[in-house]
Amino acid sequence: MSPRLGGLLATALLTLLLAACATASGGSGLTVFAAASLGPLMDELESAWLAEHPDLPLTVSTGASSLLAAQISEGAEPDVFMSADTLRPDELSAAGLTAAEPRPLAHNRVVLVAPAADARVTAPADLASPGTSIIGTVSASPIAAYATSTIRALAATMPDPAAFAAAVEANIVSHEDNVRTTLAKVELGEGDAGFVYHTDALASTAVRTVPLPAGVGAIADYGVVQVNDRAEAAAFVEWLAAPAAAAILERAGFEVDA
Amino acid sequence: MSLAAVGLTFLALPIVALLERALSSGGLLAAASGQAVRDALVLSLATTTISLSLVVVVGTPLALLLARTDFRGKVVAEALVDLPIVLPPSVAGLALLFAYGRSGLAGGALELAGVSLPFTTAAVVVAQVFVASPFYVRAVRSGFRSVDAEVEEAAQVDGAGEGEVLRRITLPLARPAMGAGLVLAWARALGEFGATILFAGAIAGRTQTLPLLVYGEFQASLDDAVAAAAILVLAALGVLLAVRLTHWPRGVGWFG
Repeated sequence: MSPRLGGLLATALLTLLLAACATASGGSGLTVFAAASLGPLMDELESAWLAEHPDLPLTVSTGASSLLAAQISEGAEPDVFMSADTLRPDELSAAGLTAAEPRPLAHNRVVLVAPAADARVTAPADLASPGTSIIGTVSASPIAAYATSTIRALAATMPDPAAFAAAVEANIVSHEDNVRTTLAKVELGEGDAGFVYHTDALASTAVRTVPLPAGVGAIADYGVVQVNDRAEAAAFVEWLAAPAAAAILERAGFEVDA
Repeated sequence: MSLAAVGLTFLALPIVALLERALSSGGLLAAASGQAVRDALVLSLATTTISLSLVVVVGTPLALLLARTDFRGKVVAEALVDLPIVLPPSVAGLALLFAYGRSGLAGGALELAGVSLPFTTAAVVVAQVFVASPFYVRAVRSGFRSVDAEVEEAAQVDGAGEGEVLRRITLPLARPAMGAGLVLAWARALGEFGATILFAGAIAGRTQTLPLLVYGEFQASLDDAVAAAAILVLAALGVLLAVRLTHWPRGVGWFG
C-alpha cells in the first residue's frame, strides 16, 4: 500500500471514529442538563426513572444553570434542561430553542452556611464584620442573584442598610463556578460563610446553617423545559411532575407544588 | 500529506473561528475597552510580570544546580521540578489550596505571620509561579548543560574567578535558552486557569485574570468573553511570531 493511500485511509478511519463517538452519545437514553444543586439527586432520580423506563438511561451534565443555558444558546441540544430558576428556561423558550413551554419543577430556599468547625459567623450581622470572608458564586448564576436579593432583604433589617450591604459586598472574596463549589469551599473552611441552597445545607455534614430572619432568604423557583423534540424527552418532563419524582425531591429538601 | 493537512486544519480552525466571531460581533470594541476586560488585562499583565520575575530569580540558580551538581535525591528534585507540567491544573489548584489555604498545611503558619494567601492577587502569582516554573527551569537547565566546559575552563585559566565565569561566560552563553524558557513560562502563566480558579477565586480587579474572565463571562456576556479570548489569542500569536521572526532562541529544546 502506498504511503499516500495509507494516509488517506487513516484519515478516513479517524474521521469515522470521531463521527461515531459523536452520534453514539445521542443514540438511546436521554441527555439531561441539570442545575448543580440537583446533581446529588440525579442518581436517585435515574434509578426511579429506569424502574419505569429501563431502556432510557440518563446522561447528566451538571453546572451553573447560567452556564448550561449559555451552552444551549450556543448549540448544545440536551433532551431536557432542569434549571435553578425560571428565567433561563423562559429565555431559551423565547429564543425558540426549546421544544415545549417551560414548566415549574420545585422550590428551594436560600440559606446562609458557615463551616461547622468554625465559629466566626454566628449571626447574619457578622457578614459585614471586617475580615469576614464570604464565598460567592459567579454573578451570572441563579444562586448569585438569589444571594444578592437575600443580602438586600437582610440589609433592610439592619440599622444602616446601605453600609451593611456595602460591607457584605466588600467581604465577598471569591466567585465560584457554581453553588456546589461554593459549598465545598465553605466545607473546607476556606471561607467564613456562603449562600447556598437549603438542599445543599441539608445534605452536608461539614457546614452549619446560620439562621436568617423570617422571610429574608430568597425562594428559588426551579423550572424544567424540554429542549429536544423527542417523545422520550417529553415523557421525562411529564415524569418529573409525577409522585415518584416529587417524593425524591421533597426528601432532599425541595418543596413541590401539589 | 493529507494527514498533515488534517492536523493543521484541526489546529487552525478554532483560532480562525474565534477571531471570525470576534470580528463579526458588533459589540467587540465596546467590550474590549470595557471595565471588565481592561481590569482582567491589567491583572494578567501585572501578575505574569511579577510571576516571571520570581521564576527567573529562583529558577536560574535552581537550573544551575540541576545542571552542574550531583547530590543525593537529585532524581526526586528533578521529578518535583517537572511535576507541575504533567499535573492537571485543577489538581495543582487543589494541592495549592491544601498547602497554603486557610486550613492548609502551611496555612496556619502563614496566618500567624499575618499573611492570608487564598483569594488574593498574591494567590494568582503563586498559582502562576507553580505551573510556569518547570518550563523555565527545564529550558535553562539544558542551556547550562550545553555551555561548553572548555570555554569556561579557558576563562579560568586566563584568571577569571568563579563568579566572573558565571557572569561573563556561562550566563551569556545560556541566554538563548533563558529567553526560550521565559517565553514558554510566560505563555503558561498567562493562560493559567485551573489552579487560579480553585486557589485564587475570580473577583474582578483582584483575581479575575483574562482566562477566568473568558470562562465566567461565557455565562453572562458573550461579547466580553469573546473579546478577552481574542486578546489572549492575539497576544500569544504575537509573541510566538516575534520569537520566530527574530530567530531568538536558536536550537533550544522546544523552540528548535
